[in-house]
Amino acid sequence: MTTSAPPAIERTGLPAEQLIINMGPQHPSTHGVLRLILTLEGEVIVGIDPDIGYLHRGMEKMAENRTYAQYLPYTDRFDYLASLNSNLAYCLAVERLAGIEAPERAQYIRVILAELGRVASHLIWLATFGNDVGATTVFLYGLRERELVVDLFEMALGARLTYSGMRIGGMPYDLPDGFADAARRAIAQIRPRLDENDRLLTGNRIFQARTKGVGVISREEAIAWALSGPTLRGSDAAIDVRREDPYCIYDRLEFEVPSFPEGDCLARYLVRIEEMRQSLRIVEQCLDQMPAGPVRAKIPRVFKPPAGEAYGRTEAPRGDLSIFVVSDGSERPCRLRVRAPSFANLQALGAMARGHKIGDIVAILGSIDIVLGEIDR
Amino acid sequence: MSDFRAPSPPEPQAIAARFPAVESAERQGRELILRCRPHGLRELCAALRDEYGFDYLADLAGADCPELRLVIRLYSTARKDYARISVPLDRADPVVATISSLWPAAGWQEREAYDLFGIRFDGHPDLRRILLPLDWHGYPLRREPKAPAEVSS
Repeated sequence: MTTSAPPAIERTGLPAEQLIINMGPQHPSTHGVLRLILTLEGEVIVGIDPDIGYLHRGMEKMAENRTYAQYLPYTDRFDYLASLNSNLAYCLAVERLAGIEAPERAQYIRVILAELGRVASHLIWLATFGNDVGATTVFLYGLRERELVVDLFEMALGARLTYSGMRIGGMPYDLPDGFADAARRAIAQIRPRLDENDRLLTGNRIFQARTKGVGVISREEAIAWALSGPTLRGSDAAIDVRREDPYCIYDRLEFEVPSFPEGDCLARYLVRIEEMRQSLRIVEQCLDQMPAGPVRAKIPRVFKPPAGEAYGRTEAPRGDLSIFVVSDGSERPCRLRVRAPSFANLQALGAMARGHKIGDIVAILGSIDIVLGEIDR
Repeated sequence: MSDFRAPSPPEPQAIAARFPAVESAERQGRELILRCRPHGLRELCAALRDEYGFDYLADLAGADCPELRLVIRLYSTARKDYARISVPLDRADPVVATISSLWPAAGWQEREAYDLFGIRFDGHPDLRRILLPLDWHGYPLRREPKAPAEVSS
């Protein structure tokens, strides 16, 4: 069975007119406040105009009036399901701008937290995506597994959603005693449960019917639309910033970059499932390799990076999260730009959904895994 | 795809010599840093995409500190290097040709630069505000004294 072109719009010869209907901004499947203006021919989608900005808080503007240290908690609110990954992108950009490097131990801790953040984020996605396509049980299981990761974050950082868990120059403090053991125990619990969820959902006929061949986007299109993260890797492109442009200590770690050729919702699902396993593998390696030592570089109390500009590019759970900082030599960023992966990924929704039935929108949107916090900023 | 090979990375001097609109070109590590006047941007981007293998539009955004400019970051998925293009713009009439015909990804990014900085993209198919309400007045990320009218009416 081939799964390439979306089903063609059937012409019956009966008089038909296009219908424009509104979906959201309060629709539960939009994962936040997203409004989709759908153009339909019968049940078939011919156009989508996503209306975003409901969550716009002027995050890039606010950076102009905060010192570099003060801005860090704001980065939690870009992608609030993976705030540690946003912290990391921001810290890397500012450190590159100022020519600072975090101590080795801090880099390991950052990778541990970022990868656990990816697992927590993907588990929320698994839960909500299962729910989107009608597998309600998975919703509960996904959140149950995420709880184990969030407990680790609470142990290490004292918070459970917006962690502000990193600092410019390293980490605020070292990991608490017993963290490594707790992390190994949690991983040992999560790993078999991932396989369990995999067995529960992947081979399920109803799940496959909702995802296979739905929302197909080719590799060429995916690159032209600047997709990133699992949304790109589901389209036969093993492109991962951690591998292509390594930061922190990713070049010392062994992990695979899963990619699937089909480009449909199922492929994007499979990428994320495999990514969670790889992330757990990375965390274990970090726990084994992590050296002792300081966790924060010395930076002046009044922190003024020299005039210049720098990009911090990272692989966040949703894809390429790049932060561009321009300094004019003062203690506040002159310009801070957030290249959010969900923003670019959502833009291609129309290209993925055209020709499909209206009911498939929910599955396709779920498979892109957007977070409106980073789209609207 | 099978006969595809990565084009060699462009030499900064060669780019500067070939495109008169390029004011400066240098290499910083794995990034090619270019400064290009707005009227020659589209030709430069088309060549970077088609001849030099920069197939991925990594980022596009405005910046105003202190000069108003557009910053574009391109990436080569085959060669794994970057090109960063700064396009200085005239504050009184910031206009530049769209590159959304080269990369569809530029569509929303350009709308955002228009929304927040007032940069107009010639030939853009749908240049509307994207984050702010459609009836918003002014461009909030511009660094200039704000007119009191910059509120949603």
